[in-house]
Amino acid sequence: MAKQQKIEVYQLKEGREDITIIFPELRKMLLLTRALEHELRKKMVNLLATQKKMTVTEVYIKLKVEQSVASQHLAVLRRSAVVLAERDGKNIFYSLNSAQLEKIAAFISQVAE
Amino acid sequence: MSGNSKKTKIVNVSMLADVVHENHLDVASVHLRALAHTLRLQIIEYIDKNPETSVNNIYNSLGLEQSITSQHLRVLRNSDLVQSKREGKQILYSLNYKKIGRLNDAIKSFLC
Repeated sequence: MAKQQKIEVYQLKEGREDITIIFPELRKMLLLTRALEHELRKKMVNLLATQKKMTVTEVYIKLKVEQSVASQHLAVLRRSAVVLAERDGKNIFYSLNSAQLEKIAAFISQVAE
Repeated sequence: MSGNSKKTKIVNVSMLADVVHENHLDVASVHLRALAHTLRLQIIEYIDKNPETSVNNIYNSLGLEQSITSQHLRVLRNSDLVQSKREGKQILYSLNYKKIGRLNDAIKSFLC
């Protein structure tokens, strides 16, 4: 028998319109927002905005951090698709996913306004 | 003049700030953090079914400790997802459907 994972859903019915809150969606959006809530990651986004693509070496030298630290934070940005990674031979090149960044930006201003 | 031979490259370091307003990021994060918590969602669901309810009703019905309930209500109030009003000695809680709805709509439109 396949194990079915229970998705947590919360229903609010007393407002003007029914509101269906799906917990995994909330978690997803929280992770996306958190990706941008970090000074070094903000610097990475700004740096990648000035270059077409960079290797992790170029990133960590430019930002004066250790390679492991740069890799770790690039991974967070990758998971949220703000940064794309592509392998070219031995190197992995990182680039900014402007479309995703703009989508997240639109979400943030929609929530905050 | 000082012999500043080092050429400093000026880069556009404010690209992200141009796209994502710093305050907006903070506000959105506070809202999401407040809502993305299963116990707080249970409290929200309870308040939805029982508008203008008290902290006593909430912790008795959900079987929680008063201090924990108060703590979570504070988070929900600070993020404006829950509103409170004083009635005599009691503080009554109700949902800010507008805020919760807006947050939820933003999520749906992002994910669709």
